[in-house]
Amino acid sequence: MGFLLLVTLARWLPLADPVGIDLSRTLVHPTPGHWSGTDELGRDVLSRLIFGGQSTFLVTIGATALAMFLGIVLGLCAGYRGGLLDRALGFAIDLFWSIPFVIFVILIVSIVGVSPLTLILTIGGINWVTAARVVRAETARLSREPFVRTARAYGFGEWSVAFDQVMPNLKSVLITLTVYAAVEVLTLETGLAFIGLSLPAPRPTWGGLLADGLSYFSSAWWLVAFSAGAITLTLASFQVLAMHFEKSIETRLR
Amino acid sequence: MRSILTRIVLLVVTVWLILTVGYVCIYRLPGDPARIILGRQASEETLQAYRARAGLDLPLWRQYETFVWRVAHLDFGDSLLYRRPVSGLLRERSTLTLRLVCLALLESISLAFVFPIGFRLVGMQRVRKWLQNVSTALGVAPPYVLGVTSLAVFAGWLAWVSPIFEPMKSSAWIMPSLVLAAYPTAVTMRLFNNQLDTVLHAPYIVRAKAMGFPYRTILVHEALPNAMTAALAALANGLAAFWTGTFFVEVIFGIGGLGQLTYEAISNKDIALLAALCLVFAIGITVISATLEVCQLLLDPRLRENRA
Repeated sequence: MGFLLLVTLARWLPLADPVGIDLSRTLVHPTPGHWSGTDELGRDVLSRLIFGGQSTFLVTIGATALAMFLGIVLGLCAGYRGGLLDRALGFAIDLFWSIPFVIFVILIVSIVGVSPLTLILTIGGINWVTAARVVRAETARLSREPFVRTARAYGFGEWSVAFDQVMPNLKSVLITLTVYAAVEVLTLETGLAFIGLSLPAPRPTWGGLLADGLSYFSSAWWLVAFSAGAITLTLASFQVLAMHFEKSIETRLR
Repeated sequence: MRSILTRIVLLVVTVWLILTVGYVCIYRLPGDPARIILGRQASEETLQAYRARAGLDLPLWRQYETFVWRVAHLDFGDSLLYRRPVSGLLRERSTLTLRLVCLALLESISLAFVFPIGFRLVGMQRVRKWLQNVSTALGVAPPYVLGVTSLAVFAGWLAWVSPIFEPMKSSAWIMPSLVLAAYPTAVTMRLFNNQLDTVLHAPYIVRAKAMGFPYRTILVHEALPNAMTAALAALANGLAAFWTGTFFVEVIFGIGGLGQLTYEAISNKDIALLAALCLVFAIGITVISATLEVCQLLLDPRLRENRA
């Protein structure tokens, strides 16, 4: 969360220019002037980390939102309506689950080109399956509950029952799913950036910074340490958050 | 039997869908497919020749048919970067990748199953829990983070290993395979230990202990078969992680396998090579996962009953 705050307020922080080249200060180790050192072109690493987080979090939030939207809509339709629609969507979900779409993300992004929109659409477009599976199962369970049958008996419309009665009971599950989806999306986005499918230079990204650090791992440890630390700490904090939400759901169910 | 047949049918449909997705990615995305595959420098004559060979001037369904036929015969065209058939490149470079994945799988099975059982048998619970905590901590980091960090620490700072990968030296394979195995091992080990703890408190185990059966017999003959099913399923599901992890591990450690080839294809915009690699990876993962799932269904009759 600290990273998210830093990244959001980056413009107003007293940071060096993330793309400003200074060839007289290349590969400088961490000093009071450059708290995370400089890279091979003399650019401040801390500044690039924080501004790089903007691209990373933008794609992560966008792709997660898209994945959750698709997952919730499809899962809710399948689980609530049941019957043929549920079987068809269930089959489609199982099919999508079987295909390692992450490999096609690499192909699509290579062909179409890298931009925040491409990354959001491709990564978000493949990560809806887990959310759809869970939402479908939970919706099917809740649809058999007495309060849903009572609402139907009172004459409430189907969509009114689905959104006003069923959806609020999915809130805690959806929050947990969203955090887990964010972990997957962030891992994929930084991985793509690492193998060269990142936003074009000079815009920094966390995966790109880690890839740059690979070339200097023996002479400039800070290039690896700070980018690896940022990625790992962010992923770890998301996972701890997700585990916390999961435990609170388990406690309430008991 | 019905559940196994269903799984096989699903496999066939999945492979067909992968081929369709591959076709859409290569030929139906915005842009001239011939230009995308042959690059900007290609002359108009070369482009025309490619369009004729790939059937791009034919009706849609004939293009699709030509594409599926060519893939089925492993004809992926020529690599723009290497100027030779892609299928030959895949055959040459697959050996190193297969070796890396097999080693990582073996390590994953050893660390996730053999070591925890071994430590339980000799009463080293603290060591077992320490191993699990370390594995969980390492599993948080994605393979590219873990790979770069371990290279920086062990090759850069400590100089315990050579930064240059020598495939003929057995010791050179240890670090890359451990990095590749880290995440799937963490997931599988946690699941297996949780399952084993649950099973060891089951009434039939308690009864066996009360009847005086030795702990070794109870653990290996009674608890283990019931605890392994879910963990093996998790390992099978994690196969995709092994294969996609090779992209990063081979680039980081300089292993000239299919992952490194993928990176070269991306860097040089060799779409024909990249498309072939994506199709091979996707179909390979799907077939292996489905095979493991069918093996599971054959070994555990309870799964067949549940699915029926």
